[in-house]
Amino acid sequence: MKKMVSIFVLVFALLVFSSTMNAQATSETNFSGVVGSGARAFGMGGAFIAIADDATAASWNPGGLGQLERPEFSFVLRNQVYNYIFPAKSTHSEFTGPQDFSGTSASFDFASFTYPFRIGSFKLVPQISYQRGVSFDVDNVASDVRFRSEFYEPSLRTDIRFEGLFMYESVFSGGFDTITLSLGSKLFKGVNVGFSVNFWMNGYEGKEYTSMMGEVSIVGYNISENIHFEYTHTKSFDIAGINFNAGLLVELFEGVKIGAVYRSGFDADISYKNTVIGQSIGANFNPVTIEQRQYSGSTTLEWPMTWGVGLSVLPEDKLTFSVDYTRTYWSNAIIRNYNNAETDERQLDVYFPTLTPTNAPAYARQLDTEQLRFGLEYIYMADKIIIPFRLGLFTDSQFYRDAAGEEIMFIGITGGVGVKWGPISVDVALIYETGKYMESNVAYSSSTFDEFKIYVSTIFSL
Amino acid sequence: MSGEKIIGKKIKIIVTALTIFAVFGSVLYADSWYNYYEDGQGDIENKQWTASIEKLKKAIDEKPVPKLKAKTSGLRFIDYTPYYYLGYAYYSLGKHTEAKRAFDTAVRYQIVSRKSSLYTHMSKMLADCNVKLSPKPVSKPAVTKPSESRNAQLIKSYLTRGDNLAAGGSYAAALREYQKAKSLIEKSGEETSSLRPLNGKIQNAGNIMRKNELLASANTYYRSRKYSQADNVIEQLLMIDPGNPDATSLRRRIRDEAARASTARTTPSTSTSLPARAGAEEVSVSRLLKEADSLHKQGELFEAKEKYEAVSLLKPNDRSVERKLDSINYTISIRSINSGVSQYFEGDFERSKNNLQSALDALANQRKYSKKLMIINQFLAAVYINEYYLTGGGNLQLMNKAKGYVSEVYRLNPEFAIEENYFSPKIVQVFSDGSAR
Repeated sequence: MKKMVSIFVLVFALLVFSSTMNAQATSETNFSGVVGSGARAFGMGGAFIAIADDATAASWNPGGLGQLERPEFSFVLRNQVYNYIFPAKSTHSEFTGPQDFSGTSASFDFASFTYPFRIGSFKLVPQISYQRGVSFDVDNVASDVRFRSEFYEPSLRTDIRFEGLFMYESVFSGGFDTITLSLGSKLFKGVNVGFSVNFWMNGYEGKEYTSMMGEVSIVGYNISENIHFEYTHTKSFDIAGINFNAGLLVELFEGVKIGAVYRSGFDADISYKNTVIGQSIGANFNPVTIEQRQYSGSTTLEWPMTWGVGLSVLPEDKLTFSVDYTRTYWSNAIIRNYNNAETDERQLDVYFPTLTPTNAPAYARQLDTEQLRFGLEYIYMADKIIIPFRLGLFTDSQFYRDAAGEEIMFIGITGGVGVKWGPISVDVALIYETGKYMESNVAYSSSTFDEFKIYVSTIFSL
Repeated sequence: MSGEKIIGKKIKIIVTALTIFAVFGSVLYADSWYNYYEDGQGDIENKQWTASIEKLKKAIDEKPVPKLKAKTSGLRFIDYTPYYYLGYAYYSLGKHTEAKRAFDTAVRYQIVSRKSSLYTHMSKMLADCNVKLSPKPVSKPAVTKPSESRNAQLIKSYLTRGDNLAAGGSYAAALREYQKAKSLIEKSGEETSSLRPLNGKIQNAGNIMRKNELLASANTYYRSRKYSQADNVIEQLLMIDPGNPDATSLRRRIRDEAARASTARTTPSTSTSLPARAGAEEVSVSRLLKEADSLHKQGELFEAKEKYEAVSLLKPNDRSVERKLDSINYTISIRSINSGVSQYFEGDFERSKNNLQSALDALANQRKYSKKLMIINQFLAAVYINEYYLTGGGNLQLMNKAKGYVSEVYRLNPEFAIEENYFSPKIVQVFSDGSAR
């Protein structure tokens, strides 16, 4: 009985909290390698492929490096606040009380050094940079959530009811980082090209903790019992690999530029460790381990390819409009021979990061993602100070599906402002992204995702 | 394929791509306009004139239109004035024709005029080019007896130069030459018999300058629709030179316009036709406007302005006509400023004063033109200071007028600093005193 209940509880926790993996990664914008960094770019909605003319250029389009003239340092910090509201109802469950995860994270997002130089009259612009390509910094807590759940157990030919309180906490740190070596140049009139080599490294680690306390009843047998279960899932995931970017930026005529960027897919070496410990807590609070699994290993992750195009228009020098489109082939992102401690599925090819098996039905498979970005920058010039104002909009399709197997689309709005005085510029960007989707086929089972990010960049020109 | 082989393959692709990129790029490379421009500026600082000309021309090929605060990349903006620097380089090489061409282009774009430090320097160089390129007057070689003193030779050369300048219309400069000759004659006590005709020439030049000044002043009042003041000035001119045809014609126009303006004020016209001018038939407002637009496009600004002013009398609240008048006044004032400054450096103070005064009246002390007003007041002050000293330093009215313009300069910009390289110590002193006040 206890073992059956414990299995139920674990499955229940997975059903309710499987989307925490998505919330944890927040939006697809975190799962990038597809977007760059910098408050100026994000203030313009991230529509920077056809601009890419500052020290963050290589992260958006290495072709833009050829426009830089002076040595520049840049630093970017990111702070993030998000809120995920899970549905009040799912297929088997109902919730009352606080139904939201919220968390914050702050990280050092990007740094670079660029040094343009000439060989004769030929200009080359190399850059070395660091970027937190995918951040896994999360600190989610949901506590004192009252729930009621009921399902039919065929072996007992009756319903099982579970009623109680749960608490969930997820704390992870780290991310996939890249060290990038880039080289750009102006090839001939109006045409800039650039290349980057990205060295992927590091990873994340952390744990998820679930606690459930309440009463379980086997309805047909008139049996009920108080239970208290705790589950701790510890994970670590490290990545190593090399890929490259190629970029092109062309000035069609004065004030109009188009850009294109290609980021190659690559086979990343992965080493991982997952541990699940399930414990039953007795009346004297003494824990008894009822379940324990640990998997670790090395495998390969097929990181997907990305391409993007952009257009920028300057009706006059103080005003810029830009638009970008980017596509990432997440439907091809597969980890081979992965052992999933959560589901006890061994040596399975699964999609990353949803961990959906590749042999799942078509309507459940991971999706390619697309982003459409619009940006605007207006520059106000005082005597010696330049003050830019920025606005942006973007759509952000997700790699996971809703309950009906449909694509999920988030939208975002951005704003930014900066100040440039002499060689120093400081920019701030605010990004708000939101989305809503069906977690299950039950009415009122939509989840809402809200994320608020702040980027602060400093660029110093020598 | 093993991981090592895959990485090796990728490295080969990257190296191949970089090689192609380097070969292709080295053959077809072309820099940005701002790189050429800043390199050209650097060559000028290092006095590498020929190299700077080559680079500035490339910058102009890429971006022919100059601009203040032109965007380079990122958030970087520079003042792009390539024609000024190109002219400077040519001027430094002694190529005055090319230099003048470059400066004229700079003046046409009206960008350099917004940077006073470059503008003064460019005006001086342009004036120098104009002098060097103007056809030299053919003068008879001085016939001197073996026993003629050096003093006599100097007197003759001053007189000859004065005559040539007077013939070219530069009466102020002619007057200076005559004064020098007179001063030498009076000191030496020689050739006193030549004093009478010389005094006649001085008086004649002075009269002509006075008449020109009055005529210009009347025109300025007329264009500013100050008909009563214009008529008074014409009256003074006709007292000096009765029957002066220019004055007579202008007086007729002034009185016609004054009458028309008076009629428009007292009896608002509901018809679309103008009362006939002397000898002219009635025209409709729309036809007048068309003619004005056509003249404007052809660059006949004064004639276009007359017609727009006529339209505005009939349609006083027409904003589009007001805007066109503002635009023409602004363009006329810019041309007047450029001419006035150039004439100052050529030594033609009379014309310089007339043009600068005309520009001052056209801009009507509007705050948004403060930089232009500063230039006008600065050079008007310099003109009056020069005239004060040229006339012997006795006419305090001239100095007081100059001080008034100096005060106006400092009112517009308390931080103003005169370019000492381009003005005499006496002028600099007056400005310093004005700054202290």
